Amino acid sequence: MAELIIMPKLGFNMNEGKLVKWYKSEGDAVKKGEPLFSVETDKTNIDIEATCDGYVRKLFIDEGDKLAVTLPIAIVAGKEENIDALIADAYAQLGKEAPAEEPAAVAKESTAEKAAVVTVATAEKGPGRHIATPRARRVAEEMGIDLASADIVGTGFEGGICEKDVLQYAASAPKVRATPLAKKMAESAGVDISSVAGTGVAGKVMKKDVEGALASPEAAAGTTVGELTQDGKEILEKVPYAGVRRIIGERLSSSMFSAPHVFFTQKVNLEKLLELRKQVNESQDKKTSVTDYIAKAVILTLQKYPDINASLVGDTIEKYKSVNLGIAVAAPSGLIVPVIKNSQNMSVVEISEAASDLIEKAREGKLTPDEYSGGTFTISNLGMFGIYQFTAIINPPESGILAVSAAKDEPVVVTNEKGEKEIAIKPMMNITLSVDHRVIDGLLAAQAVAEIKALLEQPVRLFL
Amino acid sequence: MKEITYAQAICEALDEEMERDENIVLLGEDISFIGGNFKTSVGLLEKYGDMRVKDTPISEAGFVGMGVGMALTGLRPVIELMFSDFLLVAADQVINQAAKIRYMSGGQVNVPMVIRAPIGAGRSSAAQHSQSMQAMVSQFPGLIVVVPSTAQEAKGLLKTAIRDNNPVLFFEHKMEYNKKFLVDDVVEPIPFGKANVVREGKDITIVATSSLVMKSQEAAEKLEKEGISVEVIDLRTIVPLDIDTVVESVKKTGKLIVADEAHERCGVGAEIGFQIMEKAFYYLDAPVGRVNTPNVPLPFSPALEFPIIPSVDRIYKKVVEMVK
Repeated sequence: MAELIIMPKLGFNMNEGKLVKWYKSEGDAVKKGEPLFSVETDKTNIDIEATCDGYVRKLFIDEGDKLAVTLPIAIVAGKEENIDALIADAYAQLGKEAPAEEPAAVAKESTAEKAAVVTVATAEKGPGRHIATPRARRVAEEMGIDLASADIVGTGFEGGICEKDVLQYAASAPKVRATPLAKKMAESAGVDISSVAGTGVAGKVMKKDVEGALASPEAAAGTTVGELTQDGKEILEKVPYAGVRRIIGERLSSSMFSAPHVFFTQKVNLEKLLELRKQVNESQDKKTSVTDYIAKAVILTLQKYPDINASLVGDTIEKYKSVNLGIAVAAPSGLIVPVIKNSQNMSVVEISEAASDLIEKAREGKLTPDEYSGGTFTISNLGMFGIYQFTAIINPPESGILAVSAAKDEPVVVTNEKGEKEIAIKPMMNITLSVDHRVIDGLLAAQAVAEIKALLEQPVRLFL
Repeated sequence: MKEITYAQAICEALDEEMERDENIVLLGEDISFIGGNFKTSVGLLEKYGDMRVKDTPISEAGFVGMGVGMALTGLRPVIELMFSDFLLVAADQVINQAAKIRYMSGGQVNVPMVIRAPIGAGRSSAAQHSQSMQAMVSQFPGLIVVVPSTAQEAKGLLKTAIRDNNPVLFFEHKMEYNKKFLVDDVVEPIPFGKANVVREGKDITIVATSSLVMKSQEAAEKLEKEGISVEVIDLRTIVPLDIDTVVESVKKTGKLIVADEAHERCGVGAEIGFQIMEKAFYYLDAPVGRVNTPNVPLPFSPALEFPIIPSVDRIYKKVVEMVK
């Protein structure tokens, strides 16, 4: 009954998953249906349940690790069951040798390639041992540098630390000038002597400086400068470019670099739409938003111009009958685009209901991959933040995206009943359509954005 | 200072020594009328007569054995083997007799004999005439093994070899014979067991033998332009081995390459590398590197032969690999 648990494939485009959390540790009992672990797919976290009763006998990856889908991550089996063969099989699939003992999981600590070599090699030789040439060891000892604690990156034979590395380290390490007494005092008080400002000759740290630092720890802390970049910028925080941030980054840069974007802006008079929305919201329970009307206008436009509701797939341009409308949402973990599937026949109120349900899930990070994939066009509305105008990057493999800005009262030239031109104050909103010029030409895009404008300015057409 | 070929320098050493000591006799194939296969005894027959310059049959075991007997009875034979590969034909006389007699007679007799033999590949001489035997013979106690570099060095070291009272294997490089070198007008004997630092440097040491001394210097000049400072040591003699000079250099540079044209396996590099590990362990900043002929027979085809001969480029690349 031993069962190999694999990294699940939770979406068509999912190639690897990141293990966010193990709900069980090795040795824990688990029941069928209990959550076993949580996986970050390309945009959301999903809890995976155990599929059988048993004990968690072996975990192959740690929280935070990424692994290709379908590779083994754990074994659930009977408490005493022999799982040696299964473990060997799992390691074979992972392309690793089954370790005699548990290896220290240290490889992820360093990012520099050479440092990684050192770390891996160190792991092989047991903890606390650095690879260094005999000469480097001798030189380090003579200079009073402890290779075990000094953070020296090896560039020598097989990534080991050689003499040059030690000398470079010694040259780059800041030298603290302090009297022996001051050093001793700082050491016994646990104060980092490099953080104490010296008042002696050439900034030498004296006994009284250490005493001063001890008397006012805040003052000492105040003089401490945070981590600096090489060119002297003080660093507030370092955040790994990973997970959702990285996915957003990679998808959008691939879109921007592969799809030639062209942009078409129209100014829309929202006077009638705002009036209509007021009436709709008064006449039924579901409160509709401006976005819902824009969504409906876009859906109608895409049905009129299906060439925009298209994707470039290899050598083929696929034009879709289905309108799967994505709505960009700022979720806590980053941008996500839930998709209203088969929205082509939905009314404004139906769109509103579907959208608010999806947006709420998105904000809670609970969207399933099915709910944020398969879109054919996207709307990105930053109107609520007062943005006057912006352009959006197409969400691949779609071919267009509509950037919706804020409605603001503006003086506009209107024609009155007498046929005279006059200036009036109207709620005006900019919309900018971005299209992939490989698939969509400018005329079509201009017609489409004009159609959206026309629909929004005569909003009764949205209900025909 | 004059410009002469390496072969002429050998010839001059033989001439000057024969003139100095009438007990010196030359034995070998084609050395008298023809003046030596590589022209290293031109004019000596005419000057010293056929009692002192003797052509021999193609019978290395026989005439090397004759040389051992001559040496035991007071002559100082200098024997030419046309190729060092033929040492194997005479191996019993060299290794079991010449090398052992002084020891086995309790020092009652010496064998003051020199065997000159060309080493090295590069002439399409194929697998049986291109070998470098210096590493192999260094195994056997009782033999002195000389691997001179330039014509000047060859001349000085050959004089020392002739004056030494022990059997000396003197390995000349066949690719050097026709090259011209600047040689002092008067060349004094060069003492054995004293390696020569021919180029000072601080990043890496190359200890080389024979032709590879010149190739290492050439590589070092190229490396100097790239900011790598190479120290080159001419080992001069493998037995006795001047390990102290190498140790001193490695203490300075931390890195060592041993360049010798014999096959890599159990070669000079293996010996020197090991001794450095014992004597300068805490000064080593990288594993000792070797530049040798790979462990394969030498091919006849130049297209196959040249790539396996240790070259300037291989030395250069080995240094770059170890220093960068």
